Amino acid sequence: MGLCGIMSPSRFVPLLRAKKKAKPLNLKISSAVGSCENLPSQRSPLHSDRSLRSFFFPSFIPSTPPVHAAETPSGNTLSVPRWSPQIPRRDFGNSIKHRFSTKYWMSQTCIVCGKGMLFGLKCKNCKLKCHNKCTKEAPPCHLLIIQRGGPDSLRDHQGTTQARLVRTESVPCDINNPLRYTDLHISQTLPKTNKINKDHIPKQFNLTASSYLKYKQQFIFPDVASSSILSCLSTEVEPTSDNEEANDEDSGDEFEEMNLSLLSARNFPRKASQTSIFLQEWDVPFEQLEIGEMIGKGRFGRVFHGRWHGEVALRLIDIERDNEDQLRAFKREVMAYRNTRHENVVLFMGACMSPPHLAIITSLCKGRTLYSVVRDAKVILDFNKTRQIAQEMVKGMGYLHAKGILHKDMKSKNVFYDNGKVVITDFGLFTISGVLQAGSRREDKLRIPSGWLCHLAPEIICQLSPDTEEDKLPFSKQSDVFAFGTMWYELHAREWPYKSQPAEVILWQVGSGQKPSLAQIGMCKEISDILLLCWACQQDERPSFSKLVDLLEKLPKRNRRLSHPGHFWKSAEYVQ
Amino acid sequence: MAPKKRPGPLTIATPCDGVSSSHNSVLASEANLEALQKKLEELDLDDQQKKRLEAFLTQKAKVGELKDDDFHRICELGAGNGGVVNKVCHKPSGYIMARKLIHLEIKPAIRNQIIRELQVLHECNSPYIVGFYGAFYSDGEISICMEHMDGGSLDQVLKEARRIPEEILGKVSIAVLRGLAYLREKHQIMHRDVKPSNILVNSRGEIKLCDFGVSGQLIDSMANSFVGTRSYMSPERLQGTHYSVQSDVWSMGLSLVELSIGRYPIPPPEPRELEAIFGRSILDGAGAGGTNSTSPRARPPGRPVSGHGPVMAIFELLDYIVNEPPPKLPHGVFTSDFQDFVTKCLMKSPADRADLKMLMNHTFIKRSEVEEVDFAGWLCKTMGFNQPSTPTHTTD
Repeated sequence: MGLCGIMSPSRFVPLLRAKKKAKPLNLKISSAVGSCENLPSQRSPLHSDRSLRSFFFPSFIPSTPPVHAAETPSGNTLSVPRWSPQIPRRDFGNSIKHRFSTKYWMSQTCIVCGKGMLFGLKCKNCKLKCHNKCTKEAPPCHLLIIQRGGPDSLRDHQGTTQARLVRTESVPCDINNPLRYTDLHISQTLPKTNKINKDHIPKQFNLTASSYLKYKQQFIFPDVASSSILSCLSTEVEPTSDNEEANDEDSGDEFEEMNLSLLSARNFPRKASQTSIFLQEWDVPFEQLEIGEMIGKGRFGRVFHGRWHGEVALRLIDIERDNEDQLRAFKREVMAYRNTRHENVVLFMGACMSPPHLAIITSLCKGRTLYSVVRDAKVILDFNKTRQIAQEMVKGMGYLHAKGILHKDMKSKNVFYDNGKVVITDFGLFTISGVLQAGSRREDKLRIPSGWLCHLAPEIICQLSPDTEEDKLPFSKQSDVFAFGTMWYELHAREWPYKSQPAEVILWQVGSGQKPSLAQIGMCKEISDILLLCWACQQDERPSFSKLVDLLEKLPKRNRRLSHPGHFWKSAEYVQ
Repeated sequence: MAPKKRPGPLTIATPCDGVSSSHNSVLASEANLEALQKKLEELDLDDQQKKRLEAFLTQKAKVGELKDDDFHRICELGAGNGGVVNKVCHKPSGYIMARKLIHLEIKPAIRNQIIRELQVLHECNSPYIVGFYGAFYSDGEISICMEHMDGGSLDQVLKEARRIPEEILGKVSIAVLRGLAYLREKHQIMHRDVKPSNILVNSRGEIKLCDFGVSGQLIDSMANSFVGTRSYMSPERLQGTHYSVQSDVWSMGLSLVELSIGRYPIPPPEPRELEAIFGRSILDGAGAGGTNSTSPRARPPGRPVSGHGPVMAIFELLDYIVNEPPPKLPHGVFTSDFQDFVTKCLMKSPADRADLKMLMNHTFIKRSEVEEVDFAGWLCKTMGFNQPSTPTHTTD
């Protein structure tokens, strides 16, 4: 798993470096395998190969946490900190504390007492799993370090021996606040407990892999049997790479080959584009996700309760195999999400971007969908409440539009409501959903999910044809506003417009600019005015979301007790 | 379309009553058969129709409760709206059935309501309605088990035949009209989805309607619907105004034109295309001949015979139905009776449109009723079947 947090050169941050490279012993890696299917088989030898372990520099030099490359304009040039023993290291030490987190499993065995457990702790660094009560007896934590120096690196470059912390997990990182060069030795993401006494840098740490076995008895944890140390060492490997190495054409380093193959396997070119550099900050190895129960089934895949640094929602995206366009579209969407932060917009946390495992990780929404709230007869939705819900939605949508994100699938099933709090989810994914084609695609037929059509603006409706592709539909900010109008209707009617009508009927009526009958709903004029603005046939007549903020604000506040809605909507069946 | 009356006589085979002992159900079935016989007598059937219907019901009484495990899938018959239809063997009885599977992720209450609503089908016993064995829920899917019609649907037949001759369509018209009249008179329901793919035929020469809207809940519960390049929906229904069985008449008329000219008639074929279809020039041109000039909007030209070419957007097609002149049969190829019959079905205003009773008395129907047509023979020849062992060409 350690492999997988890493996507491209910029992400690899060697802490120390050696000019000469040692060949890893017996490291067999199929060279440059581009397809992602091969990834697991590439990993497995790394996990198990003992000789590879011996290649690790088994010292505990850096506890520099998983480090994130600073965003650099050139893309490929990385600020790589060159650690040397002279640089004071706050995180050095011969005793590292575990980074325990509480976990539950179906069945696991405690590494300390050997008994089974359902709940327990797992160290984020060394993966040690044990009972809560067994932590005292647990062997110390072993961070992983890769030693990249050959036997002579010890002799020649004592000061620059390269060792590297192996990331055992990728950690979310805020692209807006990239770690600076100078920050790199300060742990941002590891808890304080992980700070290691920097004053004790044992000489032995400069041992190379080959000399490790010889010396292993003498260093590290004198109180722990060496064999247990070995077995405790994580077998995870993170390929290293950086610019200089990349230029070192004839290095012949098998690690380099591995890097290349891994990189290509992840569909990231060696010369990472700006996009992929942004994206890799958000790429989460699929293996890191703990997938729980399914909590929903959306148009483009299933949504699971999951764990990744806490509880999250995982949207597993089903795209057609080898559909490069869809993958590109997916990455484009992820690119847009990465810096969305708004109260009313679900928090994007990361994504798995390596086919076939595509997923979007977001915060877990509490409450239930607005769809079910609105249809729950026990829930009282008075005017003040519907207005407040609408205001929250409008704020969130205004924010997304300001960020250049179109929702494209605004509907009550994509909005969560919890105790007055409104959170918009699933924006932007519609065009990659393949919903109109996928699976039950029939000859000459367009698949129309129920409840979809009444959210579509006339300009989109008119474009639908059996060979419609999602990404060819003319979605716009105004079409999002139209869909909001339908939700505004739904909030008051507590049902979709055109409920139970055949698709063709809705298609013709919306397409020709008809409006559903508002007479029976008892909507007051203020409410229907806003509705009809959002539902305007002409795109440019629909208000923007920022305008809607004003419009909703200007609605007269009503005393809950005096709930007579003023003038009821009195209209002909159809309002053109 | 919830049933007004409780499912009466033929509930023995329903899953709801599955717990009843076999002894009871034998008694019940005898009682039911009696009641049924009385009902069948009201139907004005000929001897052969009566015999066949009784045979089906006797068969059905033996089938008992339907279970998922009892079916052996033979092949797929087609994909209908919202589900696949398989040809299956009901192992305990050995009968061949058509089983429609509709995948639904719904709560048990909703699913029970659907099964309950489908029970009306037990009462739909007519020579013009596809027989119903039962419906049940299993593993996320509603199964509707029906009589297997070996000739398939008329859209499948049309693919083989390219065009269906007028005298055959005469028999089709009679069956559809009688089927619609039966649903309306005996069950106060309308079909709502008349189209070639919902008119099934078999090698015994029978023509029957299937897939009528009996369960509103089923329709509401469908996760997806499919819309294509064809719509048989009447203009008044598309416009959301009140509609009735007159809407089914429109759909029948449109289906008849399609079966006659061999392609969905909207947009109407141009004279050149008609010439290609019928091998001679059609003086009057297309169904909507001359209307293109009066049309307020430019319309895409009729598609070539092959059916390829630019596809109309769905809205464009629907708007054509609502706002453009209705399709009609080309002159000179069909009898004026048939032309008139179709024209009366395809009046855009439901008030102007002929109703079922008028159509039953139309000269086209009266003429077709007395015409001797070997429908079974024609079908078997068209579909490449061996003639059935018992020739039944004197039916209808």
